[in-house]
This record gives sequence, structure tokens and C-alpha cells, in this order.
Amino acid sequence: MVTERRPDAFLPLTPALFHVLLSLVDGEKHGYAIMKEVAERTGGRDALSTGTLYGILKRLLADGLIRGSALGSTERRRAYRLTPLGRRVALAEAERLRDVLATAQVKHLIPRAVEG
Amino acid sequence: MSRAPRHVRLFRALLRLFPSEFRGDFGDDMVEDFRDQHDSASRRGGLAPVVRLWTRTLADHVRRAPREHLDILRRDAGYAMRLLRGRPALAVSALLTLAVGIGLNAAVFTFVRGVLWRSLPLPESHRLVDVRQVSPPPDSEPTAVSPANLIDWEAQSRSLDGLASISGRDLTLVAGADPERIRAATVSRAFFKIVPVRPAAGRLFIDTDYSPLVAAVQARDPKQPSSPADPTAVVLSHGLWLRYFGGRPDVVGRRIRLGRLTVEVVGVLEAGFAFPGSESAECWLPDVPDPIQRRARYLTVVGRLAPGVPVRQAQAEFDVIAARLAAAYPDANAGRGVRVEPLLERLTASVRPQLWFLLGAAVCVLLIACANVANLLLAHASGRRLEFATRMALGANRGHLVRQAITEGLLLALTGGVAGLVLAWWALPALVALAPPTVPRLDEISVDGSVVAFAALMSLTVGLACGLVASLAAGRVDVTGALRSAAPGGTNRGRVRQGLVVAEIALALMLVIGAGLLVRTMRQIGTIDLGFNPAGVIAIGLSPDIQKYGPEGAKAQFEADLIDRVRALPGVVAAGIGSRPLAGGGMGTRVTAPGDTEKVTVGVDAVGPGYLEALGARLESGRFFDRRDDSRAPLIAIVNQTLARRLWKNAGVLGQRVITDGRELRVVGVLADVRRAELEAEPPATLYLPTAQTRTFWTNNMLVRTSGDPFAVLPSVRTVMRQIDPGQALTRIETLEERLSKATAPRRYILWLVGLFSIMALGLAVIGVYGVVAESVAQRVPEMGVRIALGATISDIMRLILTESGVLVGCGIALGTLGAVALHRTMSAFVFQVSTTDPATYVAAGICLVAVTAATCAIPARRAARIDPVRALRAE
Repeated sequence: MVTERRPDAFLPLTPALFHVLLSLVDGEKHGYAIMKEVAERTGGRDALSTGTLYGILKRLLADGLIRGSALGSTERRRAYRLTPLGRRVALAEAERLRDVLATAQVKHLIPRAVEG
Repeated sequence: MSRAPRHVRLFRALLRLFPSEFRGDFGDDMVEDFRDQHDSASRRGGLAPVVRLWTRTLADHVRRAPREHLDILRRDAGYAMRLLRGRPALAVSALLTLAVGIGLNAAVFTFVRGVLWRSLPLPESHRLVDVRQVSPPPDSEPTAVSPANLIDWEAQSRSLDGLASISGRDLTLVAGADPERIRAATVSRAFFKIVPVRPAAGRLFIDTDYSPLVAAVQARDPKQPSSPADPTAVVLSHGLWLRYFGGRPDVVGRRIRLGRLTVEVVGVLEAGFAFPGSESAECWLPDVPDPIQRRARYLTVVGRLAPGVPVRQAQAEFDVIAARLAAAYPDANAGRGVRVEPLLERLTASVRPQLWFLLGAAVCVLLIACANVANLLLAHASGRRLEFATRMALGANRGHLVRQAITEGLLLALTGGVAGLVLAWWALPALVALAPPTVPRLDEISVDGSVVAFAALMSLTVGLACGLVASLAAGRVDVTGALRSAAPGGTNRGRVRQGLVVAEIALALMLVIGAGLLVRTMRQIGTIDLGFNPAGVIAIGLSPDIQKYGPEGAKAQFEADLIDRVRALPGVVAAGIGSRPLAGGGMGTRVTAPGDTEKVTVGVDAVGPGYLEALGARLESGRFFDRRDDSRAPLIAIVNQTLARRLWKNAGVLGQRVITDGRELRVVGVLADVRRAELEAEPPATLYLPTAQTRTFWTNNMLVRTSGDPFAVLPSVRTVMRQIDPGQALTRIETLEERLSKATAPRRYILWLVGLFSIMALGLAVIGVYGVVAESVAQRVPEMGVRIALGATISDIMRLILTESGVLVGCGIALGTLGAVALHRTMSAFVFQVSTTDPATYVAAGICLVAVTAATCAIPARRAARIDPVRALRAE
């Protein structure tokens, strides 16, 4: 059994992996929905294909970051949702990225976002 | 269920790129997702979105699938590693066994490859051929080539780009510093065109270096054979240039003295050049074949195949040329053929069968090692039935378990292979150092990339084989049965293990029989009647200057002086001038008895007074030569028994006459046959002539028989030589016992190695037998308990176990005997006067195996007999 690991241990995440986690933040989704959301969110720039997506899902499952739903009689396929650990990892990555962004702003690489 | 649409079927097919486990987990979901993607793309209209989807999906799968496979491999390997770490005894014994098997094979392979297969270190060496004459049938032995035939071959051959002769002689180099004896190679004009090499300084030979020699040959009176003209140019080897001339560039153009020759250094060869078979040559002189000499065959000839011409075609052309020359010059060439052979094959012909045999023996050891490891893994698998069954119950399929077993096998074999490579690295120099110097190309043997590749390939094969055999256990797991009772069992697996042990015993027996036949051969060789007594005799090479001793009588005077003074030394029993025994080669001629038409081919030896006494030859009748048999005395000869039998049926031989080269000689003695040239060949009919009565012989060898340590007389012999001729060095000094030991060295080498291999094989087989019997005993503890409780005695139980193992050993011995008999023809190349189906050897080898395995099996048998029935039954 995988013992609970600290979220930091998973960082940094690859962009594709982070995208998958992000798309699961607002609820459980099946593969096609994840692909669709990631494609829409990134304007098609980081579109995932089935092979890559399921490679990522396999890893997330093995690491205990997501859980698959059981197949009911009406379901054609499994849906996936974040585990508490998965949510913490996604959060940690987001915070890490925020810090990176802040540094870029301090160094005037990008303009400071307008508050409000 | 309706048939799925075509794009779904195509996608399913594409999914096959992924490992089955991955497909099982996610395949259906992926299909559903793809179906949605496809529908959405189609809805967008047009072909373009669909094509884009397919391209992206295809690229993605091709990129992704290998990673998934690797992932599984890594997981299996990690699992195997944990398992092996948990059973260190198993892991270590399997690793050691494999390391020995693979290491041994890698070392032997490297050795054999370096000698037999690696191409010669010359450009386009595969085009180089050796061309020799073949003596008339029935002998049909390859011989050297006569100069006149070489000239005709050069003129007539189209399949060769060129032909050249190379021969060697020893010369004394005098150029300032100390005189030094060096080996010179004399080569005809085409040589450096056939064997391309660049000069490191100066140039190679050009036509003007050959023109004085050609002029001399052409101007000569054909009736007066005399020594050929002298070369005027020399090319130095790179080694000699560095060693003797300090690598100075101004040596080119200098005149140096080589023996009686004064030659100009015209060039230096590039570093590292060595012509195979003449590796020791340190300087190169031009030579022109003498068109008069058609019957004297003494040249080594090398040719270069024209581009694209196979050896077969060149051979066919030379068959025609040989027939033409036989018709044109019947006295010299009647019945004589020509053999064209790749140079590499020619150089290695003498050792090829031995090396193949060695490789075969090494492979035997590897097979036994494999069987042992497979056996260990199987035994290990037996203990893991519960684990396999549990994993299958949890959803693993048989394929996964087989793959797991193969991964374990591969992991072991690859680790063993690395260890084996280290072992080979260490063993190879020993293998080379101990090899007799008669093995060609020893200095070309080195560990290189191909050996690593060979070891890797071997490890993969071995790992796959071991894993597959071990997976038989996994493939036959009966899930419910195994889970219901954790007791080990499975007769099928037991059979496989017994089969492996039988195979091991069979292979080990074959090796032991091989070693036994070699031992008997060595003993047989030890009993050969040499016809001479090597004890206490030392052979000393002389180097008289042809110029100084060429004139009539000068050499005879020098030899008489030398022998008289050496014989007078304390500790010397006899001394004489004559050939060195067991050195191979030798001259030959044909003789007849007066009034007889039959011509007998004989070996000829010109020997000085005292030589046959020094050799320790046995006189059957008559007398040896002495000082009175000089050039003015009546012509005489001594014959060996074979010749006496051929010509006169051994009756009244003394006083008979033989005719050779138009001269009539009276026989004054009959000698017991002497093994002059070859140790293992029956001595041919031989004629001995007194040196003083032959002018064509130029023997540069002296034998000295001593009463004590032969080397003790050497300083005084040197002193004598300095007094007679201070410019002459003593060379090639060895005792006849050393000579004899050299003649048997290749056999001893092979015997040692095969002996070593068979001991290893025996050891491994014993481990295998022990493992199987011990396991069987362990499994039957309860049964033994019952038997003992019911009154079976210790000897009953031991008999039971030993009978069982006896059946295995018996089967192995039967199979091994059949195998050895099947291979007996191959063995016949290695034995000497021993039958390859020699019953005594077979029986002895069988007894050896029975004894060793019985002793081994006695250990678990005793353990079985000591079982405490109460404890055994309580455990049940």
C-alpha cells in the first residue's frame, strides 16, 4: 500500500499532469471530458491524446492522487476524481507556480496584475 | 452485438501497441473516449479534423506505448530483484554458475575468434591466398613451390592480381654497433603490390632494385647452378629501425652489411606491419625466382585474388595451369597439383580442429550451467506456487507470470554475464600466456566490443531459456489446488527438473570421456618409440658464413675442427652435425635399387660423423659414419628399417646399392626408424648420407650428447666456437627434451583445458543432482517418517533414495554414452592411437560419474534416514 506522502514530494508536476489535475478540481470527469476541458482551456495548445492521457491517469492512480469510479450498469466508462492528497498536490503546484510568477513580476519580466 | 464502426476497430488495433495489462485497465475507456473525439471531429465537418485527430492519436500512441512497456519491465525487474535479495543463497549460486559458464565461453570465444576468424591485420586481407603445390597421389601432400613454376603461374594466371614468393633466412647485421643476428625475408617483385604497406621513411623496392638480380639470373649458364646474384637494397622493419638505428631518418641511403652482403637501406616499413607467418622478419630483401629451378620446391607463395574472384574460381584456373605444367615438364611436375587456399585458413589450419573442440567443450559447460540455473529457478518456483496462485487469483494472467519468470531469468543472466565478462577479462591473458607458441596469431587476441556483444547475446539467450523453463512452473499453476494446500508438489515440474539433471549428467559424461581420451592419447604419445634418445642432448644452431665456408672443403674443415674440439670437452659423450629432430620439414628425393624399376620416395638427411651417436639412434646392423667417409672415399649411405624393408625386404641389406640423383651408394648401416620430422607420423623411408659426400646440403645444426646437465657444456662450447670463428654466434639452443615437450605442447594445452572444463562440468552436474535429490527428500519427509515408523531401517531408506537418484544418473550416463559415440568421429581428430570408442575410457568415465554422484546423493539420503518419525508425522 502507498503510504501517504507529502504533497511537496510530487513537485514539480509536468504541465500535462497538472492540467489533468486541474480539470478534476471541480468534480469527477471521464477521460473524454478531461481531454475536452484541457483543449478548451489552453485553446488547443496543450491538447492531450488518449495514449498520453491514460499514461498520466495510470500514474495518478498508482500514486493515489485520483480515484476511479466503479462501473455501474448505466456507465459506459469510468470517471475519475481527486483524492484529498491529489487536491493538496494540485494546490501545492499552483502555489509553486504563483511564487514563480511573483518572482517574474518582481523582476519586471511581466507586468504586475491589476488588483481588484 | 453489432459490429463496431470501422474507426473504432482501427483504434482497437492501434491499442495493441500497449502492454496487455495497460489495455486491460484502460482499453475500453480509451475506446469510448476516442469514439467521442471522433464523433466531435466529424460533426465539425469535412475530412480535415478527422485526419488531424488520427495523426495526433497515432503519433501519441507510437510515442507512449514503449514507455508503458518499459514501465512494466522496470516493475518486474524490481520485483525480481527483491525476490532474489530475499533468497541470497539461490541468487549467489545461480550468479556464480552463470558467471563461470558465460565467462568461460567469452574467454574461449575471444581466443578462438582472435586466432581463427578475425581478419588478418592487412588491407583487404580476405583477398590474400596461399598457393602451394601438391605432391603426386597417393600422398597428395601440400609442398612448397619451385621458382620456375612460380614464374609460369605468374605468366598464366588471370584470377589472381599478382603472385609473389616470400622466404626467410637468418643474417648477421653489421652496422656500427654490435653485430646482431636477425631474420630477413626475401620477397619477389610483386610482394609489396600484393601486400600493400606504406614506407615510414624512404621507399619500398622498385624495378631497379630487382634489375641486377634479373640480369644475373638471365646471364647464368644453365648447366652451372651457382648461388644467385646478391641484392643491393634492403628495407628495414619499423622495429629494427627503432631498435638498432635509433629511429634516425638519415639511415635511409646508408650502406649496411648483412652477412656477406653490402646493401643500401632504401626504406623503412610502417610501424606494426608484420606479414603472417613471417612475423619475425626484421628486414626485407628483393629476390628473383630462378627459372632453372623447377624441381627444387622451397618457396612460400602468396597471391591476391582479382576483385570479385572467389577462391573456388582461382582453384579451378590453377587446376588447369597445373595440368598444363605437368604435361610440359613431366619430370618435375607429373601428377603434381596446385592448391589455392585463403591465407587465413592456411595459417590456422593446424590449430583449427583443436580450437573448435575447445569451443565445443566450453559450450558444454555453459549448457550444464544453464540447466543448473533453470533447475534452481524451478526449485524456487516450486516454493512460490502459493505466491503465483495468489497473484493469479488477484487477476494476474499466466502471461504476466511467464513474463515475470523470464525477467528473473534475464536479470540473473545479465548480471551473471557482466560477472562473466570480468572473469573472461581476467582469464583470457592466462589462456594466451599458457598457449603453446605454435598457435598462430596469439598476439592478435584481445578483448574488444565483439566479445562484449557476444557475452550480451549469450546472456540474453541463457536468460530467456532459463526463464522459459522456470515459467513452465508458473504456466501450470492450479489456482484452487495450490491455495487449498500449501504443500509443494507437481509431478510435471519434477519431471522437467529430472530431465535437466539427466541432461547435465550426459553432458558432463561426454566431457569426461573427451578428457579421458585425451589423457590416454598423451600416454600413448609417451610410449612412442622415437628411435633416438633425447635425454642429455642439446641442439645448437650454427650460422656459418656462406662466403667464408663456400669454397670446396672449407666447411668440412670447419665442421671437423668444431666437432673434434667439442667432443674433447669434459662431459661431452658425442657430437655431430646434422638436422634437428622433430622440427618438421626436411628434404626428400627418390631412390631405386639397381635393376629395380620402382622408385621409392625417401626423406634424406645429410649427417656428419658422430651425429647419429649424439642423437642416440639405434644401429640394427652395420656401422655409423666416421671421419674416413670423406669426399674422396667411396659413396656410402645408411638406410632406416622402413627403407630396408621396402627395397630389400630386410634381407642382406648391408653392402646393397641404392641409386639416387644418378649416383650409386653402398649401404653400410641400417638404423631403427627415427622420428625425424614429426612426432606422431610414422617415420618415412629415410636415407642418411655423410655430409662430406653431399654438396647441396647446408646443415646449420649440431647435436651434443652430454653425460650430465646438457646446459653445463654450453660455456665451453661457446669458448670453442670463439677460438675457431669469433664472428659466428650460437643460435636456437634447446635440449631435445625441450624439443619433444614443444612437440606435445598443443595437445597438453588442450588436455589441460578440457580437463579443467570437465571438472567444472562435473562439479556443476553434481550440484544439480544434489539439488534435485535434496528437494525430493525434503518433500518426502512425512513419507519417510511413516516408513521408519513402520520399521524401515536406515539402510532401507538410504537404498530407496540412492536407487531413485541412481535412475537419474543411469539415464544420464546412457544418454552421455550415446552422445559420445555419436560424436566419436569428431574426436578422432584429437586422439592418437586410441579408439574414440575405447571401452576402458568410457567405463572409467562412467564409474567416475557414478562415484561422484553417489557420494553427493548420500548426503540427502543420510538425512532422510535420520528422520525422526514422531516429528515428521507431527509436522504433517
